[in-house]
Amino acid sequence: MVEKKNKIAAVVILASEGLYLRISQKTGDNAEILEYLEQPLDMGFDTYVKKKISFSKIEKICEILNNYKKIIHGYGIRKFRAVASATIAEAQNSQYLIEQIQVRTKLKFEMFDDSEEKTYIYMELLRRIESNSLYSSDTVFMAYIGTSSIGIALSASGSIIFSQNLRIGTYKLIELLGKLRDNPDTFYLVLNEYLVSFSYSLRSLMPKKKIDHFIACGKELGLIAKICDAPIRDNSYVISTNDMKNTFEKIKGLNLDSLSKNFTFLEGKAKIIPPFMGIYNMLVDISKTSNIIFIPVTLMDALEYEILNPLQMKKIIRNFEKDIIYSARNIAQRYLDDENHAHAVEKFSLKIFDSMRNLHMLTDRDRMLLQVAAILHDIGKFVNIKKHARHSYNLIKGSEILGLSDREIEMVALIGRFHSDSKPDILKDRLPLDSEDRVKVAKMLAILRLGDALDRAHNHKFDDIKVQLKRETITITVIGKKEFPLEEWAFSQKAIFFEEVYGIVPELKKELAYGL
Amino acid sequence: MDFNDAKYFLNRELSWLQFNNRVLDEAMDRCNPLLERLKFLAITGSNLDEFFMIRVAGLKEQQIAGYSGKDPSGLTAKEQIKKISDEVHEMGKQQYNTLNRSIIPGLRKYGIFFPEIDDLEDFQVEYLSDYFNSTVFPVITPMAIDQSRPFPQLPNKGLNQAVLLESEDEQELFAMVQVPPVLPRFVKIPSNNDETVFIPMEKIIRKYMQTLFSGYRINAIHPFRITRNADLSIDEEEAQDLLEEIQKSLRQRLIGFPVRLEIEKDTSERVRELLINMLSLKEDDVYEFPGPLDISAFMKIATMEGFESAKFKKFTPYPQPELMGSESVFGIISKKDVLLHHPFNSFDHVVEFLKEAAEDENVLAIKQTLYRVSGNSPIVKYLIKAAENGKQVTVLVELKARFDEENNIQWAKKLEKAGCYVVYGLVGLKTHCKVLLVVRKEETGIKRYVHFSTGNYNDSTAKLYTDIGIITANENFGYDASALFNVLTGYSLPPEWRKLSVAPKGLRDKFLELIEDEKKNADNGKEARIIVKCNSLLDKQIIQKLYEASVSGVKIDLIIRGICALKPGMEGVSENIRVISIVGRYLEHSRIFYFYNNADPKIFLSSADWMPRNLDRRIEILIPVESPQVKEEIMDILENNLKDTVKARTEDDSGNYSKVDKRGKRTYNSQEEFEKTASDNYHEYQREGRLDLMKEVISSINQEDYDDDEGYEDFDAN
Repeated sequence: MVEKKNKIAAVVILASEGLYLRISQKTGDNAEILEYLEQPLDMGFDTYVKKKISFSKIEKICEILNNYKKIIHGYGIRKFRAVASATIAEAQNSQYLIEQIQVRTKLKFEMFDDSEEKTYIYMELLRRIESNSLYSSDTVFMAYIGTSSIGIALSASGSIIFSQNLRIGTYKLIELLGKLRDNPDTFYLVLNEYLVSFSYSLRSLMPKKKIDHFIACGKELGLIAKICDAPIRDNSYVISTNDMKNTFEKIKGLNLDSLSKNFTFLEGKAKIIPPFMGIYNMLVDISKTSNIIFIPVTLMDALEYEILNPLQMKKIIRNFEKDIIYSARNIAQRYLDDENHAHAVEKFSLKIFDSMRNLHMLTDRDRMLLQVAAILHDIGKFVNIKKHARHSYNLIKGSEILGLSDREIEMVALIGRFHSDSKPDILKDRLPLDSEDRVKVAKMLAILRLGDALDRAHNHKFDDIKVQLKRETITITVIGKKEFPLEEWAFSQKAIFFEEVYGIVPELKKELAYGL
Repeated sequence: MDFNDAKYFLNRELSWLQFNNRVLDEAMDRCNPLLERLKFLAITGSNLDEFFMIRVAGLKEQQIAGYSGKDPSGLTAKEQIKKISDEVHEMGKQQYNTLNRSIIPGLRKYGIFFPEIDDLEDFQVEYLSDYFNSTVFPVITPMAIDQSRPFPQLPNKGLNQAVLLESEDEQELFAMVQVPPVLPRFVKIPSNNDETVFIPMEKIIRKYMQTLFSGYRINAIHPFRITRNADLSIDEEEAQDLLEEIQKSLRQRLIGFPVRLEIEKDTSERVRELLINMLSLKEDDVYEFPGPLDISAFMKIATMEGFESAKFKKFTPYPQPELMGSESVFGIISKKDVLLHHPFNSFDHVVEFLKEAAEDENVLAIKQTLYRVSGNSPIVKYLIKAAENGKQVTVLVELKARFDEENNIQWAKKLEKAGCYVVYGLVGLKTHCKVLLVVRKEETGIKRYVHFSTGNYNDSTAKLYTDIGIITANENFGYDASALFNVLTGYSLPPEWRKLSVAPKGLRDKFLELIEDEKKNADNGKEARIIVKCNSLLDKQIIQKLYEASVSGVKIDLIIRGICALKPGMEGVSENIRVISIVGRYLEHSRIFYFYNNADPKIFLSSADWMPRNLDRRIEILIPVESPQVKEEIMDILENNLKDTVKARTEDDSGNYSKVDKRGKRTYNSQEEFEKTASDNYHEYQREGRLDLMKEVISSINQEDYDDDEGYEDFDAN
């Protein structure tokens, strides 16, 4: 048999609206789609409104999955990716569903939360933007319209410089406005006012920068492009703002029936078109661009690319991590008067982290989380110095840093939460993490606390530190011009938890830099 | 123009009867060998059986249900039944005239006789008596009918004898004797010389009838035959297991309501009346023939061994040269698409393709639709082999292939047992498309090979039906074929097709669009032309669109073997449309669609006819032909068909057909021309092959010489 690694990719996606399978193979730089299967499930509305998935569909899901497995095996593929999308993850009982599916089909789905899903989509979108000389060096306003939220990001020269998640989605709008449907005038008035409130806050948060392009992706954009009769250019649609606005005005005069009749290809999707168009209308008012470029990018595309091009994907992820740090710094800027302390803690913590690799066995991804935690650990002081760690926790949790999953955000927030406790009790508390992640948090926390202790007075006494790891001790040598009794005291306090976690005692030594 | 008026359409059933008349023409045509004529005659018989079982039964159902709607030609069910009855009565006269006055007397020349028993010699009568006692008597059961014993459920299409008896106390009694279907209908008896002598079974039973009814006096014996409603309709939504339901329905087919009674000419009024009453038939449903009844039974005689001089010259399908040679099918198809024109090209190529796939270690999966499979099918054999070799084999068996269900169920079970994944089609839609997909892992990645065909994967009918198959490795067709199977197996919603158009969604629209495009070209003063070859044209929307195109000046040639509800040559409506029908040695079955498209022709193959059932209730595909070479070959086929002056008939505006006007044209039999082309291509290939071989031999001789020289040089050097 002729076989080359990673030449074929199979991806199964379980979303509330359907179950999808795509099999592709790498041909040169491109992916050639061999099979694409879709089966509708129509669980979306239930998931959103009731926050629960009805198990009535489970038999059907398992049947479809068994069929999909046959197709996958037909290509001799043994390993493939199965992902449950954010629309599933949002249901309270999604874990049970995934577990039941696993029991019945032996197929374990990875669950993607909204943030992970968006991250993948942004990475794919950025990749496409970068590969297109038309947009690559410009400022691009990106929007990803999901079923339950809209992700907004601003990228400049391929890096994301701002991101924001808006909790409005089509299903939510349909639900909110459902009762008004019979009265088009009120419907569009309420829709408009509702969206304007979002646009106001978005405008105030966004960096004031001239936007060159508005690039969007999202499931039903293809339909909107079709309604607006938009031309295709390099696999993307270009919808002119004027056309979009004119079409929107036209649609406002139509009820659902005539909408479906006028655009027969909508087939039952007519009801989601008005809220969608409302959202785009609002966004284009912000971007002030003359058109919307629709690049049809899906989670499927991104996952498939990762399998077919693992090395390139690693690079993309690393680049994206830079954007995560950038976002974290932006947030810190919003809350902190003095960022120097955070800088110091970041520097020291990473240095300690890097010297201890053999001891903590954490990954580069964890290092990045530690870095984000160091940048953000004190932002709670913006609310109040008292119990500031709790406030840090809440602010980090609410910050929705693009590129971090909910789980990772929780980890970062917990590091913030416990960075100043005298006796952090990470393992016992009722925390929404599994024990493996808790241990990780403890390891990172122990490091960050040492780093924090080294700038206890927030006056940046040390320019640098040296870290030496021996069998039973870790020695941190500080280099500075000043005496540092406060830091010594703080260090000894924080050392207790460190020892608890790593089983070795940290020692602080000084090397006075008088001679320098 | 509004083309809704009934005057624009011909009635479907009457048009079909016209088709059967064309087959009957072939039976009457003295240019055909005698046993072939008998075969055509038998076909008209079995055709009519099916027609009554399905079409007439359907009309009767409408009538019973009180449905008074009209067909597009403006006829109610009742009116249609009446017209059919008139037409079939007329046809019957011709059938039996041909049989009794022309064919049977003619067969004597070949030593084939159908004598009366009274004319037999003693040794022959003795043989009959023995035969009756040893073979017939044990399997017949006379059934008496009276008040306590109701009319028995006589099977569909079976031949029976009605016997009027009188008991010793002069009581009249009515009995039935079924002519046993397990025994031959015509019994060959010993003869002097080399004569072949047949006696119909009913006459043998008649002769010895008294042994069945001892103690009674036989007043009359009359053979009769019943045809029943046999439309297989299943409540699929309710059906838990389609396989089971079809088996059940097959049993029911034997006992559907009667739609036709055939009796012999001199049947007594008494028996006739009794039968009509018992079967609740009307006078129009009774067909009186001189006999023997059931003309389809002559198929056995027409196809018996020997008598080659009374048959068509044997034709053995030729290999398609492009698929010959030492290279694997995969290698050849990777380079170019290949066309197969059956039966002129051998169906073995398809079997060979499957065989290679089953045995090739790089083949991962095979998927195929099976609609009607022959008994002992090599296709089934290799699918099983592929499964045994660890390939993933998916077979879509269409159980609803009319009259073939029993056959299909057998294969389906066999395939399942071998580990093939067998799917029984979609609820409510018959899978009529013919696709074979091979998924292969090659150095460059996954590669798919697809065979599309207009005909079924049936090696027997592939020798008799004209069909076109195409094998391609074009990735877009591979994608569509994979997706098609995903739809057929119910795994996925239909995708956006890359190349194919697929019924029931979008196929009619595609055809309408293609015709419309030609119409627009004609409207813009451009040349516009459509050539279509299919089996039936019945779809109202398509007919209307063709009229519109004709009015705009599109030149339209339709080669339609069977039903055609379109009226060609109507002034101001269809003057630009010509309809011909070719009925010859081979059953015309390929479906080809040609559109001039402003000098950039579009050519398609399809599994679908232009009938509502194909476009609305079946999974059918339309395959665009892309290879320039294959396009040319198909164009040749169409042109060849259009040139036919021997087996082609032209339809007039009242739906009647007549042989094309030969004046000024040379005699041209398209099917014979195809035979010739296939033979020429093959022989040319062989000649070239021989030349190549010679070249090889010559060059190898040179090589030897050279080697020798070299040897000398070496020798010298030493």
